[in-house]
Amino acid sequence: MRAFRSLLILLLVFLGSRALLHTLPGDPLETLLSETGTAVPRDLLRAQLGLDLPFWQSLFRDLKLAIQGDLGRSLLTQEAIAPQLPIRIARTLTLTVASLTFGVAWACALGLTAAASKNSESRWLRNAATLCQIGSAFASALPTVWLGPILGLAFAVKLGWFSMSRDWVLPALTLGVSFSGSWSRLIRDRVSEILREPAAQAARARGVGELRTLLKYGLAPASPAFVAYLGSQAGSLMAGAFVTEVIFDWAGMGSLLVDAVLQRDYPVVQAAVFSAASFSILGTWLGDWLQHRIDPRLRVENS
Amino acid sequence: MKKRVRKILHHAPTIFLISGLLAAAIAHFFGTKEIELSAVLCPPTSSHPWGCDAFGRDLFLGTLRGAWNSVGFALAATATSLVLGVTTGLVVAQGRDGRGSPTLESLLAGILAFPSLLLALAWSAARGGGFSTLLGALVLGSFPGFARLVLVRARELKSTAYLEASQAAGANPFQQSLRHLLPACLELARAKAPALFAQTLLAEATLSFLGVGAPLGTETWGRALAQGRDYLIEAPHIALASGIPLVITVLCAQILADRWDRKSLAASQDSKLT
Repeated sequence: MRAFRSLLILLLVFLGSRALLHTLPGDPLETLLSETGTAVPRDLLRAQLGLDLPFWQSLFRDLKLAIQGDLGRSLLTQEAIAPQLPIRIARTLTLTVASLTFGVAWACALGLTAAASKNSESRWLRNAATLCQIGSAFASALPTVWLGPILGLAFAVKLGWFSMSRDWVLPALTLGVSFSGSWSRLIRDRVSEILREPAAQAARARGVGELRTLLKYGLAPASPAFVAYLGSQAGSLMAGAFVTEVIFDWAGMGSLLVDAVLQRDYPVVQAAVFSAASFSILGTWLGDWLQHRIDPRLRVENS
Repeated sequence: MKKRVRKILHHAPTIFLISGLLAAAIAHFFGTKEIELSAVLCPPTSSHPWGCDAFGRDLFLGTLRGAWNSVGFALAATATSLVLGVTTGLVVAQGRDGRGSPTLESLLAGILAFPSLLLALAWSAARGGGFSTLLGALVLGSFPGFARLVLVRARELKSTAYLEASQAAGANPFQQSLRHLLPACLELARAKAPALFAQTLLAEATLSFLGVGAPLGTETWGRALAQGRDYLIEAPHIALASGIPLVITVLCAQILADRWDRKSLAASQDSKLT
């Protein structure tokens, strides 16, 4: 049922991305020719874009071709789009995974410290909690489009530790910090809520250590929901990666999409939007699935 | 003494936002746009405290003018999203004679599942650059989330006794929405406005940075950030000058958002108890 719904949404996204071209003002073909100044002959272009057929027929033709692995050709370079995608996607995924690792670690550090020491008796710990809160507030206020260049300036230009465009460290750092802002807050709120429940208090009362209580009775019960939410945020994480790619000239999906948007290369826009949307749907689905795998409470309810 | 400091700190975000907006308005309406070719990319000096940009304009005035445009865009987009969000949320909750419309709801969920930046990019690919495109992209990115909040709030209220009573008294869904749901949703809108404002401000910066936002020639913080990135090595002060005000503004908006959110949460819990 879920798979069927995901498939339906995918079909809708495909329809939406194809309809993009038809929303151009006036005759789409004329608008395109004048906007891009492409050298492709008019009749060939019309046939390539499916503008010679009624919308529904061209949609079915495109769908059939897409299933066979043909996503059309770029307007400007006339190269087939589908063979370029795997490399681009792999590069974006590398960046996303690296920044996710860093972002989750940083968010957990900030969020858990804040949750554990918010109501602590020691004044130092309470100050640490405030510091963590300030840190996460700053992290969510820093726009990636500013943080990226500034990190580049500091670590690539002044210190020379990393290269601006070849290393994955700086883009991953940028994206990770912006990710950690909202997440550390989420972790803090959720974990401190769970720590007030009887299970955690009972653990404390029978002498379980503070750190163990935090991890086992605070973080562990909350983590399945975090995993599911992370899955549903896969799309926006990827969108964040797109921006970071443009900042650091990282040749992934994001650079491809933004360049295509700026050059009005519609077939590439369509293909990129469609594959990014597929990933975001896949991410949601994966998160849900993982949640059901790791949370024993949900397993009992289902069977 | 300590109490007074604390009080000033408490009002600091509001004071910063209001005085910043006033300064931006003055710079927008009365400031010069004088171009000094000899001062292109010059670092901060006594006559140009923040330095100059790539066209030789004073960066301090430029940042203030950018503030006027960026904040204006963000405010317009926030207001539109709030209105659109309340309307959509109420229609989804009260559609089909008050039973709620599952079709519209899944459509809303579908839009929400789609990353807003991707929506904005696709939107500007179809529409080309310009003010209305940017506004549309910002609204498209922020209103579905708020519409869902309105929907959830309306659902909560619909299960309360006084709404059931109003239904029993013969109020139709439209009257019910107008008289009982709308005030609560407006309260929600007031509480969420600063958060939405911060979000749209960041989105504007991102889109303009990518080159799909504000039209060429409009000074906004996003465009200044893009310039800062282009001249990062020769003139790092450009990136700093437009970025720091943006960060502080977003931070202030988030502090206000937190405060108002907590207040409205406390108020709604009070009303539940009594």
